[in-house]
Amino acid sequence: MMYLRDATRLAAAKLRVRPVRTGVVICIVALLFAGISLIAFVFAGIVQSLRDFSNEGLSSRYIVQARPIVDASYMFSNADLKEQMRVKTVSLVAEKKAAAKRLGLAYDADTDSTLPTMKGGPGGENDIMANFSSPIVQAAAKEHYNALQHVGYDDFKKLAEAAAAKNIYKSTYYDIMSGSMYMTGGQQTYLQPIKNGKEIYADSQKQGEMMGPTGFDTLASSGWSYFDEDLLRPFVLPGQSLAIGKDGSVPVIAPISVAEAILGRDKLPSTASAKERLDYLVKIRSDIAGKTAQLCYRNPASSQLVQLARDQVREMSANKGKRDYVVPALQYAVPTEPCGEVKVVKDTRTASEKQQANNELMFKKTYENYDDPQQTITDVRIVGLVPDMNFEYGMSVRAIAASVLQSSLGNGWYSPSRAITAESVASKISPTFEDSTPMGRAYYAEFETLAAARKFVRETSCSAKSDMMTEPDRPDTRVAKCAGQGKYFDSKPFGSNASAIEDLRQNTWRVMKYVTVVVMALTSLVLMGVVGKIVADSRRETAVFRALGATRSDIGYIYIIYTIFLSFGITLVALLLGAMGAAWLSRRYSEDISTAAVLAYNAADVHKKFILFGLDGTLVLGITAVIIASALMSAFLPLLTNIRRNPIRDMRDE
Amino acid sequence: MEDKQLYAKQLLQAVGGDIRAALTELKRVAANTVSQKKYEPKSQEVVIRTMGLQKQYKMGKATVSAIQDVTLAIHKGEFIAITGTSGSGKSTLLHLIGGLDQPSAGDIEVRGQNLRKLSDVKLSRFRNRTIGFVFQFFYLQPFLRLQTNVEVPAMFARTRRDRRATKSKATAEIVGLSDRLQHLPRELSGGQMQRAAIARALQNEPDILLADEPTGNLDHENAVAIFELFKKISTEQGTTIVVVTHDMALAAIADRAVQMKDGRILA
Repeated sequence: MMYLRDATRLAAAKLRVRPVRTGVVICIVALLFAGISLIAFVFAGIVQSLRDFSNEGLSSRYIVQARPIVDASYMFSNADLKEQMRVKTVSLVAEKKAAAKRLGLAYDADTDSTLPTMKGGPGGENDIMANFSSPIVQAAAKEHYNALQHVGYDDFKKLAEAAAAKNIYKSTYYDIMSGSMYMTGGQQTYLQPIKNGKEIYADSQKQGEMMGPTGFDTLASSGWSYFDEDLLRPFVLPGQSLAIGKDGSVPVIAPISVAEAILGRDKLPSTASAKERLDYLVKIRSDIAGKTAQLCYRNPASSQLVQLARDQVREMSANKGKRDYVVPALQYAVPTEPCGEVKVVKDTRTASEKQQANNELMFKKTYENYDDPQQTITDVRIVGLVPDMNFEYGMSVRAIAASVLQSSLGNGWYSPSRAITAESVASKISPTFEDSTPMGRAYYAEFETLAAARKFVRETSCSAKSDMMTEPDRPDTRVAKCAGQGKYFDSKPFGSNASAIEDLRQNTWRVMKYVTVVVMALTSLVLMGVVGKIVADSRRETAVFRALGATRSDIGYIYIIYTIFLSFGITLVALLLGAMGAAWLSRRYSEDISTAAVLAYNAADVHKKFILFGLDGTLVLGITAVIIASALMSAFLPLLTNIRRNPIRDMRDE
Repeated sequence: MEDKQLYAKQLLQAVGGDIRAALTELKRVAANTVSQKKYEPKSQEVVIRTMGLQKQYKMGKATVSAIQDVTLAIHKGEFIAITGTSGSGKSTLLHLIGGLDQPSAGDIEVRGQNLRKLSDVKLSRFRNRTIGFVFQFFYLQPFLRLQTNVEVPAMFARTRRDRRATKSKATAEIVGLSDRLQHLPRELSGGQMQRAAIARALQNEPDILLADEPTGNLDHENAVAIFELFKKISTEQGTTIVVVTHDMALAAIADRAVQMKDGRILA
């Protein structure tokens, strides 16, 4: 076979024949590949930008969060528990009836919502089911859950240590009620902000936007978690620390909207430009750092009294001057001091009425876990910010970017674990039922590499699906299936999107592969026609070369190189068009996405850019290889036909 | 030149000014001149020998005999013209000799090698090393400079660049195109292009040069010059040259002319 350089020379000369047709072919085919190139450039840009941003927050760390897998259906469908509670209900009703009689109180078991069982369930109205809001049921369930094997912190620690985790953590989560009446284990806890010396009650708080809770409402919606300092440190604002303040203030990392509420700033309109958003963020960060706010903790009894006092004031005001209106015999005053005690301003009750009230109180304390009213002020100090939950953007580029990029602790309130002291509000707030059992616990293991973290997720996370949604009345089989797998946790990456980026990359590759196959097929068809025509038009030339001594291999060689040249042309145009498209997209959307990324990552450098245009050598080589492969594939048949022809016939036809 | 003009004048007078009749008469005289020429081969070595050669083509359902029982011997260094009317089979014979086509029957031996027994690769090598082809329409590569065009057969022979450059300059010298080596084909005249094609045919120093109507696209003056060039190459380099032409006058320049009609050799 002839030398490569000679074949190249002849192929290059051939490219100059019919340059317009060649150019048109190159452009048409390149258009097909330009789409793939565009995706590749944008993808490379995204990956590059994500890497840049991954130095922010926890993104450069490989942390796995694991939640124990427990049978949540136990409390609803476990027959033993139901029977046990039925027996307890019978004895409790008898006991309560006797006590009520003794105390001179009316008691109706049918309306008592604190009993261990309630009517209803899978068997209809005549059936009974365990009453989850009963302390007795919760105690029994707690006992059951806490006796479970394999799901404790020590079990997790052993697994993490065996997987060479470099750090192991756990978090405590407090679900804070904010005026809501739903029960959390018979205990309601209230934390309400104090602004300008006034306690802001839940029903008078400025409501967040329609899309979701903001400001202090986030405390109720997203809760207050206590983490190891090590996990919180990346979110601390410059100059701030996670230590308890000298004034006793609890350091808090809170959503940005909390900062807005404390500073009395109005939220930026969703139409604000990227620059306005960044400027706003810079200002908020500098203004909120170290600012304190007061929260009022009221236990359920205190909260109910406040509510009663406020209702009375409203009622008396509404009925002022009405003859038939009877003012309450026991009147309370709404506290004038923030987080003040609710005091009785007037008590015209008779002695027997007072005795009756005392008896009711005693009955409640004995059978319904009633505590005397308590309230206390807690100072919180904002030392860091996390983004708010992404509600407000809708389906904009910014919203999509924010949801993809979301990489932080979450959207709630966060404080260091050491802030849980005997005096701190945390010690007063009762953990929810879930948090007092393995059900609501979360453990964390940090690894050196993404691969190690992913491996740990694979090895510890159970893949079986729960059937609670499809068959809620039957015991969930997931626990048994997971036990069969020897996996007792739901594990996932935490605080970082390194794993998500890797998944994104793999999924993109998967999609790209299919797209590429389709484009390759299309391109091959187009090219087959075009190359076939070019080869057919070159029959005379082939015949002449054959007459001059070229073998079939030489001819094939020349055309293969010619096709490769053609492919390079296509590649060049495709990459150029793709790059232009990606550059345009980047220019058009980069600012918006950068802002979203800065907010999502809570980036220290607010001027960091998220670009949609990047160069990845492997991708460029891949595209080139695909184009060359399609071109060669398409050239194969026409070429084979051409070199098999009798040269003299072609010459004679000419 | 004056003799030729006088002869033409007399001829036209003899045929009463009818140019067509004059041309026919000219061809008759030329043919007689050729056939009457006493042929003495320069060498006794036969380089091309055809024996009972036949070539048939299928044209639809019909079979056309392009060559019928052609037996011919061509000696080393001989400059032979194959003449005949269009469709007489002269080009087919040339292609068979050059190994571009295979006979339906009979044998062709070139330098003792039976072409029918050669594989495709060996035939290619044979065409590359032993044969030099010259075509009516030159078939130069339009975007290659003359020197590269001339070197194309050497590329297929895997000749080293320095050697083929030396050779291409030498062949350009032979055909009188030394000063045009860096030109593109479109910058040359028809005669120059054909001389370039001859230089290309000579690049690998073939024993045999086959030319198919090499002057068909040239004016008379250039045509004569090309034939003179063939003569010179044949004489000076000992190359065997087989030229197909329908021009009897040009054929007269060759050492020998064989005339073909209906696929057979007449003389």
